[in-house]
Amino acid sequence: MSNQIKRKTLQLNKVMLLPTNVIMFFLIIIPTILVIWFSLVNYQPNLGLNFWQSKFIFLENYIKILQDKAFLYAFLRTIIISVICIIVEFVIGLLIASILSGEILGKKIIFPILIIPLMIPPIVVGNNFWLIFSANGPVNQIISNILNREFTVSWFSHPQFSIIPIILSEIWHWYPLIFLILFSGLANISISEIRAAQILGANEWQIFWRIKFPKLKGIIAIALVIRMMEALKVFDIIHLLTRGGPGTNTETISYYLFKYGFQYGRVSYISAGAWIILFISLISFSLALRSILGKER
Amino acid sequence: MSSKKLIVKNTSRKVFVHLFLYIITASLLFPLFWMIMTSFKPSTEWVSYPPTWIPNDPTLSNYIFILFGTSGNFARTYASAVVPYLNTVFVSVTATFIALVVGVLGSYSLSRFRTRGVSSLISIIMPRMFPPMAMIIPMMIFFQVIRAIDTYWGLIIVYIGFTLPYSVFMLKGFMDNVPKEYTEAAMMDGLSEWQILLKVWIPVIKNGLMTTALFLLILNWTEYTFALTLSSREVETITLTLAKLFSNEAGTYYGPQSALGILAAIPTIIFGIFIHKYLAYGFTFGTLKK
Amino acid sequence: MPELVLKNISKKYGSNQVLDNVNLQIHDGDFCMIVGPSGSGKTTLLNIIAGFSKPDDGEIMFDGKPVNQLPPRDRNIGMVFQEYGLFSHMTVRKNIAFGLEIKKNNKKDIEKRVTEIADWLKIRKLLDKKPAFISGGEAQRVAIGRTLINDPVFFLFDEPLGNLDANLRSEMLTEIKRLHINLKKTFIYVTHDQEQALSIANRVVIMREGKVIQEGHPKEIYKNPKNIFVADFFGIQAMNLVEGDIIPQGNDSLFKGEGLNVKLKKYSPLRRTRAILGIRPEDIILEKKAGEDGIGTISSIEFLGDVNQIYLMIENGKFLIVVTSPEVKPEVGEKVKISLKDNKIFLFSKENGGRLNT
Repeated sequence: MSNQIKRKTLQLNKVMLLPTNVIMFFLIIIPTILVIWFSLVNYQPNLGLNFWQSKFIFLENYIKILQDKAFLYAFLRTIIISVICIIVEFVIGLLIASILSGEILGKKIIFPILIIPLMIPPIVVGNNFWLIFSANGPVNQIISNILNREFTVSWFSHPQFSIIPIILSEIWHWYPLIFLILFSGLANISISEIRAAQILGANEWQIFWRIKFPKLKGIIAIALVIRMMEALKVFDIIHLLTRGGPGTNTETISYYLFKYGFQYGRVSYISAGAWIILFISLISFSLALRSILGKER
Repeated sequence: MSSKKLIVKNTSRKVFVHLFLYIITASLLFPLFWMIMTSFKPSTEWVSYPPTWIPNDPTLSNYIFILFGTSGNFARTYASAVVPYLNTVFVSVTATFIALVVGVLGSYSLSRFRTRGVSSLISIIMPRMFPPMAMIIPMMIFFQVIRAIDTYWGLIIVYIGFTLPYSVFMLKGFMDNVPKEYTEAAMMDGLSEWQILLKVWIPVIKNGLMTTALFLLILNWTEYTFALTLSSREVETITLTLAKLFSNEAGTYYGPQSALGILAAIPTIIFGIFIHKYLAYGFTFGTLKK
Repeated sequence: MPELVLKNISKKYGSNQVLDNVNLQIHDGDFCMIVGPSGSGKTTLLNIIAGFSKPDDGEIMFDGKPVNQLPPRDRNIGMVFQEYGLFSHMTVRKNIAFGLEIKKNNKKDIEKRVTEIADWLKIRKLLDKKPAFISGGEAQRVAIGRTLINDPVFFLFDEPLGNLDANLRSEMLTEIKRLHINLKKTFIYVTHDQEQALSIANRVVIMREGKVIQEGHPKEIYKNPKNIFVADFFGIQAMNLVEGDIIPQGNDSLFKGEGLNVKLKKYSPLRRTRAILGIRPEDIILEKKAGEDGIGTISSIEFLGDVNQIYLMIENGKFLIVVTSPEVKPEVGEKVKISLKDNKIFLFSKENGGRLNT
């Protein structure tokens, strides 16, 4: 290509990238800078301190929040919830994806049906599970029948049990994503390889572990990372159903930030918290990806 | 093993797998089923004990409540949910469309020319890892400054901002799989860059485009957090309406809530079913070749 | 006793009858080639033999035992696929070892066997490479090596040479023949390229639209095609086909068509029949003197080394291809007399393509 055309093309592609850059700048870079700024000052709107009057206090916020047990518990809670959700979603997703990859009667109807939960707004999902787990709801009815006695626990006011409907609703909402990813992966495996393995004497189990699973590793890693990133942010359902309660039993890290940021107005405090979370997430995800994939992505 | 025994073994295995699948599917469908049933229940059956699985007294009153609002019978007056519904349609579709267009341009630039800059891949993944809660406050301040709080365009822009990383990430994955030969042939035919994008690349990534569009639409349609914090009175989306119906002094309006929930879920469900074939093959994020 | 028997095998996909009452008997040690144009059902047949597909009707029997219900992994067959199906995430070594590794055999034994096979197929240096880094011909050998490790009873080949370039193809074909001689096992080989059949198979099965049209030793089929499809399809050179009529003349008859007048000795239909005469290029003799079957004008000559290929025009626009020994060198434009070898004339019915004479 001549130099003139090269320059024109370079200009053109910069132009194409421009809208993305502009939007990212204003909606992501600027707020990010602001959050960094907040985390290093003592900005607390409801104490009457104006934005321009905040003082620079360096890492004080970071130290304070790391000493707050509620923060650490919220973090731990969020991780546990996310891990449980992901494990169950993967088991369900893998199971259904494997079954549906074969010859199944009614495949064309079942596939769309299974995807539906992902299409339903989380608020609606929350509403759903509130209904099902309400004190007079079907879940209690079924359990009563099994245990042969009255079971009318109020799930959402129960300190230990309230987390269960939350976890179940997250799993219900998100398993289709894992299912779709794994299904795509399985569908992309060449049938010649599978048949070759069959004729060489491998049974279904061996085909799964020696052929399918190794090929899916890349996709599973990506799916895990994507899903984990979303799982850590879980907020909608908590806000709707339990408001983090009873007490702080279902307080996830997002809800913690919401409570302290919006309700108590301690903006600087939660900004520091957000950076700590980002830092820990980045490190864990890089480590995890590297170990699963074996090399740098 | 004799032929007869094998036939029995093969068929019983098939039957077992099918039954297992059907049972799982049915149980996974259960919550949705319950909500649909509740939407047709009169208020006496909402939380009756024992719960009725199929309404004894089916009614459309919940849907009427949603569509026309109410006064009198209920403790509070509720406006019809039609306006919020339309708001959501306008905001989601517009935001999705723009995020898609911008995303296509950006991902084309990144994929074709390996451009660097702010929009490099890392800076696209990082925002997704950052807790959105913390971002909201500076955004609120920013929006207050530019007077965009509680406006349509304010919300649309925020939605574009929060879905753009997904858009570029997914589209780039698909774009990276466009065979080099197509581009080379197009260049030899003298096509301009725009023509290469529009006439060669976009048709090739059609599946991925649909998948991304649906994904973004779902994200925007079901969004709650930003709607909650950045708009509430003037621009009410249905997620907010749903939340409002949920918590109030007189008790929860389960019926209308379920009805609105169904109405809110239908568009995305229909889109999803419409495009499910693309979804089946579009979720590899560019890591596997077809 | 025939090792593999297919009895009345039929299969439908939707409204398409892919296999229609196929009957086949293959004997121990045969090199059986199943040939046919695409859509003839040959790959489906192979898949049914392997067990990947179940027939709608009919029985498959290995050594007298019905195996319809037996899954592929219990059939003890080796198979080479068209795309090879090499496990792309494993090294060549692991690919070959796969068959024994799933049986949990002793590691040392497996290693020994893999090395044996690799040496025999001359792919020892590839053992630690992954399939993406080896050539087409090498992948072919690895695919074969993989089947050898389990010592299967017979071998299936699905169009194995399709992905190779021409010169590699003949080399690999010879390799496969060599393999057959060494192993002394039954080979069932499916291809649309019937040229390969004449040189290495001892049984050929010609299929078309789901049916077996003709089967037997390739030389037999070559000498005695059952109908016009087989005659046209099978053989290295295309057969010359001339349309005309057979006019009975007592105990003999005359074929008259497109410029040819051929006396057919000891063949006489009941009445005048519309027919197609077939004659192979090597069975046409060009005589300057007493050729009596027709006259033609030399249109072009190609000197191919061991033979000459001549295009001969017998009537406006109708050409015959003639293959002669290098000494026969007519001039372009020359008029020559044509004589057809009596016992090499094929007559086919114009209606259904069936063979009229024997």
